[in-house]
Amino acid sequence: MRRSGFLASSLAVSVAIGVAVTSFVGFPRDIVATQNMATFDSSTIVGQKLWNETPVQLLYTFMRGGTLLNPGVPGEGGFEFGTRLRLAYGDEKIGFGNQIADVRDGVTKDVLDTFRSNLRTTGYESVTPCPHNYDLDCEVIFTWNRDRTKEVGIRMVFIRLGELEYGVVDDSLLGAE
Amino acid sequence: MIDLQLINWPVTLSLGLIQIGSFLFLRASKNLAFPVAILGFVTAASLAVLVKILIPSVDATAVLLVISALVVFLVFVWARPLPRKSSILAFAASAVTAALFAVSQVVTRLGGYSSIGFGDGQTVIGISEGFQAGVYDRPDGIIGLKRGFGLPAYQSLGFEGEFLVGFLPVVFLAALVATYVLLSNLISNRTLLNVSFASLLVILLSTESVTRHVYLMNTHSLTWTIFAVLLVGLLKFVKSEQDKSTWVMVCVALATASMLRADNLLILAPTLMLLTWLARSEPKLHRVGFWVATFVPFASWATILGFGLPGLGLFGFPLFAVLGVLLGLMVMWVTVRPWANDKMVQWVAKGILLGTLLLAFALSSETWTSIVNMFINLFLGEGLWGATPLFLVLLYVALVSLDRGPVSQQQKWIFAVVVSTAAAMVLAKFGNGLSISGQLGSFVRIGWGDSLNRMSLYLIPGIVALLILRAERVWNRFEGKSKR
Repeated sequence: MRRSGFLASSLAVSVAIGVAVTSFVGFPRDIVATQNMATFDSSTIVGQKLWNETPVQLLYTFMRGGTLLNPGVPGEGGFEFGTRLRLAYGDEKIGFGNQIADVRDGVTKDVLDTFRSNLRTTGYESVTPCPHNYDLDCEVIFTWNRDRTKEVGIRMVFIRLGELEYGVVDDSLLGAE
Repeated sequence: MIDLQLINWPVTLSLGLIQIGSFLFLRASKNLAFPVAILGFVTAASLAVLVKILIPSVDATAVLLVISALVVFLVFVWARPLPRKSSILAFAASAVTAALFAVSQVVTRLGGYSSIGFGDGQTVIGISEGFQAGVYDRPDGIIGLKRGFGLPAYQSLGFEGEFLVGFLPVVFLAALVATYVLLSNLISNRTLLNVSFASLLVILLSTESVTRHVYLMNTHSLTWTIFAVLLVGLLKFVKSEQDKSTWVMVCVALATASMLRADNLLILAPTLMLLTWLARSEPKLHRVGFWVATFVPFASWATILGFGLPGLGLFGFPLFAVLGVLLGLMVMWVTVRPWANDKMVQWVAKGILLGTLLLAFALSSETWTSIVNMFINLFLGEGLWGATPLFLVLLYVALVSLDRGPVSQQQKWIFAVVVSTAAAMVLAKFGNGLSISGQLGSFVRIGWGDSLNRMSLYLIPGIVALLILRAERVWNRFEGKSKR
């Protein structure tokens, strides 16, 4: 009797661990909490957007009606989370065909620094596997012109800002009309 | 050496005091004293901030300490004569709870842990900052109702300029403890209970949608706690094991939910009605108490919003509370009709879900899309639930196929709460759509941030309760066979 109870208990815990491992390995994961906050001051948190969220969840929350330009093909220089976006946007709203635009080309360092700094002012920052090498971690700045939040058809462009920095920004911020 | 200034001592003391009161009051079910203390603290803190808004010269923390001390005093008076052992245990429980909160504050600060970025959370700490500074920018009607009161109120008791750092993990812990207590009220087999809960913990803590709530600046884990406590109360009524502390515990849970958000009134409505039915042998005053606890706290904070109800102004909300209590009296009148019985009430609860779905299909062209989105969130991972929902469905099917015997009254009532609450959550989401766009629209969108996806946390206590009741039957069946 005691033996069968022990076996049943071991089985239950093993199955639970199996479910946990499946959740970790076989399903999408984003982030659980923001870490390494330098301050808990409410104004600073809101003003500087210190709380993190991943680009994919930000797209789901704020850009439901949008189209996504050149996130790149996952595994071929594109964002790893690109395949997840298919469920919400369908292939017709994602331009997988083009590679991520490298905005470093043809601009001076000062211009690029100013641009990055502007994006950070309003952007959410998060860390995700680098599109160019999934073994590395890259920072992604996600931002958009807040006046366009409800705009149907807003276009979010995936760009490379630095060696380990990428951006997901709406096209009005790029002047890409 | 840890800097003791990292700890918010006055608020920690207040929580400790309320824990003493909760422990002494719930001596018959001590394990529930911690979650109920958390609920009591949130209600007391919200009340203190409400007083500060009405009388700006007072200090909210001082008011909170006075309320907490008053709670302890009243419980000591109520519980007399009190065995020395109970008093010692109450102080020990208080020390443990205060220590837990203190450790949480230190760990949170040292690790710099905080909420993930979510618009609602940022709005909440913005309102909370206003409460703290005494500059309350009364929000517009719908925004004010949606954001609620209790969360920004108790969060405003943090250090100057900050929210209440380290409290949310304690709330999450309270939700887990309340769920354990709920399960322990359902089954007597301790081995099965502990193994099931250990397995449940492994699964829940590996589910990102759940663990996000450890620090998420929102009311979800608190509402999870509330539902677990309410289910414990409801089951005590089902089994006729209720005492006076059951009634107080249920009222505290209802009042806390009412303090938090306006839509909680709708989400809790089915549970409130089922409680009123199951407590029909209780004195009328006790049952009216459930409705007063649900509607009066809401009316009290809604009157400080920047708008009144159409044509009624600020008197509208107190009037709404009176109407709510009158509705309760009407429900009580129905409960004594000769044609009303358990079976009918259970069918009505299930019918609410069916009715809601029919309404959705009739009035919204996006209902099917919503259902598909819900499937994607729950089973394909975009709601960050991992393999958990799929496993729970498979487990339930397996347990049902292993034992197809008649279901118990407990199972029937818990099932009624789960399905009717799920329906109320969909209705609340429709209300949200109506207030924003004037149409029902879609009630589920893809992604973790979808309201229904996040609110699914409320159903965890009910769902695991149903599973463990099934598991116990299967366990007993196999145990019986092995004995033979």
